[in-house]
Amino acid sequence: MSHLAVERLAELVEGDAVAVEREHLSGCPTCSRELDAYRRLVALASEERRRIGPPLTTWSELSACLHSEGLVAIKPAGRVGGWQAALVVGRRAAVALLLLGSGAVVGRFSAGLTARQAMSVSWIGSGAPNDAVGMMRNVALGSNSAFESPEDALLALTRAQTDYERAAAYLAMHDTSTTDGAADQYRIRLAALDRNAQALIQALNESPQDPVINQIYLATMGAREATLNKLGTALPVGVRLSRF
Amino acid sequence: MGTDQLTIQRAIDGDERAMRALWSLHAPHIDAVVRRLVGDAEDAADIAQEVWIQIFRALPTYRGESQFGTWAHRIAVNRTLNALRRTRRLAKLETEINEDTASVEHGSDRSMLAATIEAATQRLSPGARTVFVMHDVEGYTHEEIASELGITTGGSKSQLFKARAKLRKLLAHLVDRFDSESDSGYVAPGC
Repeated sequence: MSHLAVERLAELVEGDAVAVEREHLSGCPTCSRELDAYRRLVALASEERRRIGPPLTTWSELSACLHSEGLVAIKPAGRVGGWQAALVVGRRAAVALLLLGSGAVVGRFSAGLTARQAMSVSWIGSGAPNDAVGMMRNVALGSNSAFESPEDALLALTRAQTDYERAAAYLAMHDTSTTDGAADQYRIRLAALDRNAQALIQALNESPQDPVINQIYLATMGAREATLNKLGTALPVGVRLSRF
Repeated sequence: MGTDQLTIQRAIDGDERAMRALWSLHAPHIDAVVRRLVGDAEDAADIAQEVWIQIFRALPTYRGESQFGTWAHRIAVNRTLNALRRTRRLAKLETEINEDTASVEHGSDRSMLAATIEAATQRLSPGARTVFVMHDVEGYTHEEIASELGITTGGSKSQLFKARAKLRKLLAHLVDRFDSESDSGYVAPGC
């Protein structure tokens, strides 16, 4: 019998060889080696399913689409007033300031500056009179004059959050400080962020309105996305992310 | 009710945080499916966004009978195939399958080895890639593939075996196992 056709060998991965084919395979090293190669190919393909990679989507773009589709609920305006409203806004602003400041520090730090330099850059950046960080710092320090209502403050907070996410995404794409050992570092960071995210999701289920938990959760998710993207570019050529 | 179920319920209620939690947890897997089926990165990004909108749109129909990831995966495959069909790439695919035009080029690309299986599938025709990814990667049966693509099971099998034959050559360095007794390169058996 002549050698088996390549497409028949590709089919025989699932078995079902007839008697004459089995006989040929037992005596033909070329065909049996080929069949083994096809089996390894199929095994390789099934492993492919477990592979993951950086998301193709970004939450900011997807969120805009979900809003326009009406799939995201519009939150009703809060009914708390007086000192309670001020407290809520103040707490959110303080957390936002903390996140923006620490985000900038982390970003600068990852760009190669020392921690001291990074903090210095961060605070210089927050000194601009009309930017979101400046406004947040004023609120956190007790000056509420920048806002006429809690809605104004929330609007600024949302804007700051968006800026934070955009900045994190920018740093993920343009940070050139990647080194050979960076992938391990990103894996460690990703695992830590995942653990935090799980704890925060659990906390949100128990206390969905807590502004501090909300902000930390959003920042964690932003950092997670940026790290995942970064990890996708930090791996050596030919190696892709399958687990961490 | 478990944490996942609570998150899903909140997402159904329109809670953006819960939606984001689901997306963040499952996007690396779901988007990978889209990437594999579509091939082209730019098209894949657009389709992945459609997929996620469809997942959230369909969320109220999720009954928890399977894992959320499995349910979302199924939507991702269906939506991606719809998108490919809409962009006429799948129309081409179906024509190729029906006419059985995808051929194995014997020995023509031995010098063009692919680094990974993903890179190798990019060199298949859309039809062969779709059937190969659905069967060998995503685990669909030929009957399911035939139903999804509107082809016969025979057409699905034929396309799969041609795809495997081509990939086997493109990935020779990964699937060949050499020993001192054997020759050092891929030689397709004669027909």
